[in-house]
Amino acid sequence: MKKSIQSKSKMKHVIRYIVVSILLIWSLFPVYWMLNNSFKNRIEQFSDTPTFYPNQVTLENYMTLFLELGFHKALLNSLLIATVATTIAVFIGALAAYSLSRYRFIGRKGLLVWILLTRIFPPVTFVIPLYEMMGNAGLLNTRIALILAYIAFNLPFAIWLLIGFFNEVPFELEESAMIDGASPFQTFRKVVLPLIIPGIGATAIFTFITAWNEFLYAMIFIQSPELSTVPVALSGLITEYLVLWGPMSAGGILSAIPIVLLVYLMQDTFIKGLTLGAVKG
Amino acid sequence: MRKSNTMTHIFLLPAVVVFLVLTVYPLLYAVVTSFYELDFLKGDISFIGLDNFNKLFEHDVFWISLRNTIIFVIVAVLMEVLLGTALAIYFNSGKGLKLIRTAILLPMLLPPITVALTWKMMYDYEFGIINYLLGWIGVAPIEWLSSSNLALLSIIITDVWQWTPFVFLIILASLQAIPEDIYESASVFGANASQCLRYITLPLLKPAIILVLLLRTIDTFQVFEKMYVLTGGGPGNATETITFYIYRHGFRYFETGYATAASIVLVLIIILFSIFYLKRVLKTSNLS
Repeated sequence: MKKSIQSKSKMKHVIRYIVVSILLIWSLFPVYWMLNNSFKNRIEQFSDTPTFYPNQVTLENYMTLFLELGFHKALLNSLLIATVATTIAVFIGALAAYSLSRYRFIGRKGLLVWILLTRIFPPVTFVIPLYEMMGNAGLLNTRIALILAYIAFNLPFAIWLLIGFFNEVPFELEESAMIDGASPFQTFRKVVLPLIIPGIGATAIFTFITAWNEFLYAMIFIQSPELSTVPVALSGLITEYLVLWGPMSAGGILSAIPIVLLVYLMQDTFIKGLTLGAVKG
Repeated sequence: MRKSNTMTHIFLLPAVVVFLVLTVYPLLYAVVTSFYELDFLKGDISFIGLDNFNKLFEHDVFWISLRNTIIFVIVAVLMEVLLGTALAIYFNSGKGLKLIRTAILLPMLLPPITVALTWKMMYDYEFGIINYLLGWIGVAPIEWLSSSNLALLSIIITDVWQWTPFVFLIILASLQAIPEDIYESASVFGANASQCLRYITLPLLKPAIILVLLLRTIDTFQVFEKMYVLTGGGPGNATETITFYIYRHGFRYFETGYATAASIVLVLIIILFSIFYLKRVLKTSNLS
C-alpha cells in the first residue's frame, strides 16, 4: 500500500517535470530560434540542416539592420512616440480616474459607460475617420498623429485601471488630511498620489507596451520610412520577392528587448495591473 | 463619495476633450460616412442611403472574411481558455509555478508583428525548423501557410502561443484568491481531488473564466498583424479576416464609405458578442 502511494507520487513528479519541460520549450523556443538566427551568417541561415546554435557567431545581421536599413531611426521613433503617448495618457488618466473614483458629478455614469464601450470598439473602426481628421489637420505622416491616436486608445484602459488603484486607497486617509486643513488638491497631491505610484507604474507599462507594439495605425498614418515605427520597419523586411530573414531576426530581438526588460524588472507590478485591469474592467 | 468641486472639473476636462475629439466624433463620423459614397479621385461625395450595406451583404468575400473571423475567434479563444485554465489549475499547487510564470510571460509581451515574423520563419516550407523537426520522425514537409486548408489553423496556433499566457495569469490570480480552508473543510468531509475541482474550484473560477472568454473574444476579433505578415489574407481568401477586409477596401481600393460601412457592421457584431460582458461589468462596483 505504502509502496504504491510512493510510486504514485514519484510518477506525479515525473509527469510534472515533463509538463514543465514541454511548456518551457513551447514558450521559449520561438524566441530562442529568432535569437539564434539573428547571429547566423547567410549560409548557415539557409543550410539544409538547421543548426541549433550558430556555428559561427556573426553580427552581420545587426550591422545590416543599422547601417543599411537605418533601424535605429525606427527604434528612436517608437521610443519617442510610445513615451510621449504614455506620459500624456497616464497624466490625463490619473486626474480623471481620481475624480471618477472619489467624486459624484453629473454625467459620471455616462463617462464610465463610454470608457467601457471604447474598450470593445475595434481600432479599425476609428482608423478611417481618424485618417480623414489627421489629413484635414495636416498631421498625416507625422509622429503627432500616432501619439494622438495612442492617447485616444490607451486613455480608457488607463482610467479604468487607475480607478481600481485609487479605490484601494482608504477614504479615511483623505478625510483626516482635509480635517487638518488640506485643500482638495493638496490632499490629492500629497496624500493620495504617493500611494498609487505602483498603480501609475503598472498603467504606464501597459500603455507603453500597447503603443510600442501597435501596427495598423503606424502603417496607415506614416508613409515615410524615416518616421516609421519598429513594427512597420520590421514588416517592411518582407517583400514579395525577398525576405531578409537574418536582419529580420535581429530586428525582432531588438523589438522585444525594451518591453521584456521593463516587465521583468517590474514583474509583480505588471501582473497586478494585468489582473486588476481584467477583473475590474 | 464627495460632491464635485472646481478641481474635479479641471481634472476631468482633458480626458473628456480627448474622448469627444478622438473617439466620440470619429465614431459619429464613421456612422455618417457609411451612408455616403466617397470618391477621392473625383472628389465626389454623394448620399446613397443603405447602398454600402447592401453591396456589403452581397459581396461573397465579405461573408468569407466574416466566416474566417468567426472560426478564428471561436477556435483560438476556446483553445486559449481551455489550455490556460487547465495549466493554471495544474500549477497552482506544487512546484514549478514561479519558473513557469516567468517563462510563460514572454510570448504575450512581444509585438504581434515580431510573433508573426518568428512563426513565418519557423513555418517556412523549405527552411523552416518545424518541417525539419517533423522530418526527424518521418513526416513529409507540410505547407503550413500556403495550403488553404491549413493556413488559418497555422495562424490560430500562433495566436494560441501568444495569448494562452494571458488566460493562465488571470485564472491563476483568481485561483490564488480562493481561501485554502475551503479545501481543508471539504477534505474533512471526505471530498477527493476531482470532487474538489468540480464542486469548489470550477464554480469559483466561473466569473474569471467568463471574463477572459469575453476579453479574448473582443481582442481576437481584431486580429490583423498575423494575417498581414503570415499569409497576406491568402491563399485565395483563406485567411482573410474582417479587419483585413476593411483595411483592403479602405486603404488599397479607397472605398471609404464602403469600408466604413463594413467597420460599423463589425462594431455591431462585437457588441452582440460582448453584451453579456458589458452587462456584467456595468453592475460592478466601479460604477455604483
